[in-house]
Amino acid sequence: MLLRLFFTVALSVGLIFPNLSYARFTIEITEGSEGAFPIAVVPFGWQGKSSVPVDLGEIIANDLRRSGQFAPIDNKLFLAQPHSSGSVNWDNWRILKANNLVIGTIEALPVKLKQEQQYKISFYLLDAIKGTQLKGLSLETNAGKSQLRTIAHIISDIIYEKLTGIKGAFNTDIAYVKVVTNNKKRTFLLAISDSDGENEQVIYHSDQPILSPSWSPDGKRLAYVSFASGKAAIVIQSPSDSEDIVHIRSKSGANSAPSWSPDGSRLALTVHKDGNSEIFTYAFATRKFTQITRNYAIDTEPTWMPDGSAIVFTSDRGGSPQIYTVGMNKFGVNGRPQRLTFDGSYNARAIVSNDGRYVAFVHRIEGNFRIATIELGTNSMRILTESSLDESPSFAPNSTMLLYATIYKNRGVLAAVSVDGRAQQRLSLRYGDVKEPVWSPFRKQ
Amino acid sequence: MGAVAVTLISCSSDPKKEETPQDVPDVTNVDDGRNNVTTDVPVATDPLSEGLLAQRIIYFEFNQAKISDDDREFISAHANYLSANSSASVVLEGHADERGTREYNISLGERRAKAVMQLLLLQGASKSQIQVISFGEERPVELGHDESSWSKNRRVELIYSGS
Repeated sequence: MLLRLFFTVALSVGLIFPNLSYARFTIEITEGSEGAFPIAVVPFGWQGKSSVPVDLGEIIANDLRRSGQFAPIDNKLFLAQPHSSGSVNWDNWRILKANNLVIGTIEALPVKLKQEQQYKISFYLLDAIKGTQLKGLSLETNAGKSQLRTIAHIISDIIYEKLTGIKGAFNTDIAYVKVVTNNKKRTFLLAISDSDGENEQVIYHSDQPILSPSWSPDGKRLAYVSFASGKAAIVIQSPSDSEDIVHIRSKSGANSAPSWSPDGSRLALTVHKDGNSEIFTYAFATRKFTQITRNYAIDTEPTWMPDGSAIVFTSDRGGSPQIYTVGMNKFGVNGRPQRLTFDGSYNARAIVSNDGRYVAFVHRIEGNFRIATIELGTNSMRILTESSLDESPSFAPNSTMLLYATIYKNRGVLAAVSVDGRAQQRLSLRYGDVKEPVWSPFRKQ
Repeated sequence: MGAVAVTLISCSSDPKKEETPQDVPDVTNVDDGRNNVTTDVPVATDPLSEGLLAQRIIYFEFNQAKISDDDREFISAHANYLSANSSASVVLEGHADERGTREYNISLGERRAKAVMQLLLLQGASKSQIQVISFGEERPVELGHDESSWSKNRRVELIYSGS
């Protein structure tokens, strides 16, 4: 089977700020998962001149490890390094207690006149216990070396889905806000990277705060809040086209907390007017605002149920910030708001998993702010994180992991936790503070 | 905090002038010996740089917008000033500490600024003189992750502008 890949033009905006970009995340697994499946990922065979351009096996193994569901075996223990299924000696892998084996090759294709070097990647997923092949696939690049990391993530997704039955979310992006301080001057950057923190691209920067990035459902645009005008304002920007910028403004007041409806037709947002904040929706087709909440309490941080049937939001109408839901139809509000959280005196900034099963939010307990989830239906609450200033939870599009922001050693860093709380990791930059992470939707292929 | 731009306004009698001037940090009393200054440079004779009017920051408890009795006194002075100087205008800039969520903190900073606005309005300032904005937790004065920093970041700043 040959799968041809078509890629959009590589982002170039980040090159404008070379000193602030190209920052790599260091990923530190802070809590491994017991019961993770042992898997052996053999370094891919290289058929070409000079050295292999990218270590695909390492990227795949790291992806699988980050999920918390796999325990890749140290490749120094391997007794052999086969590259085709015919050359596998199963006993070599059974002795290492590997359930599965991933092998493959990367081949430099003949270079066409005046064109970039392209590559062909073949891989096999094998069942080491039964001695059978579960999956085999070849992929070719059409935009050169820069696609190889993406291909590794695609292979990770295929392996993950084959072995867990759940769609993989490695070939996705994360958006986040980075703050770099130089001589007491702060620069705010809105950046996008691969889900493993590589390939960072800065899409907007300002000396004024940036917050609340939100992906459009098709993953092609980001809405965010900018203070560049002196007050909170909503901007929609296309990461691949720096000219494609739209400002969403209500007639009066400041605007913040944008959140795209699942069908992409509306934006839920907060309008701040006369010292009061209310939730509205904005319909792109009619450019009309519709008021959703109406009272003197704080109402903000709207987000949608994945089927668009309700908006979940934060309100302190009951005396403390809590999570509420209000039904929606295409005209506006449908029914009265219902309170969702009752445990604790501070629950805010909800986000709903794509499968509609969990609502994650920031929960205060004994003075600490942590990420918690409520399972819809049973309403059972679970606190997933352990430090004191955790915020901005965001689900992976396959609903298995949560990305969030925390403070570690006095710096803002990103962290991830599996929805079951068992696997935890930190993504740290070498400099600057990172916050407001938001995981992209699945990439369309 | 940044210097406050002040336009000179013809001297009106300050109702609070007989009170003991408060200890005022961050404000330099410039006495250059000149009289009849007509430029926009803040000078010692500006009523806003003296006494209660020189106090410009109101502090709050966590997740609260309640104004203390002490602060009400100097807010009254500002209300009287605005009432007596209809051309003066002030921006009330609300802020929160880093705890809790960012968007909620924008709303909280806004609520704090609104609480100050209502006091000013009750005592004679007019709505057209006041603008409320909030930066939530995005513009801290102190960057530490402890109460000594947080207590300085939960604030409303009164910022006078010209015209």
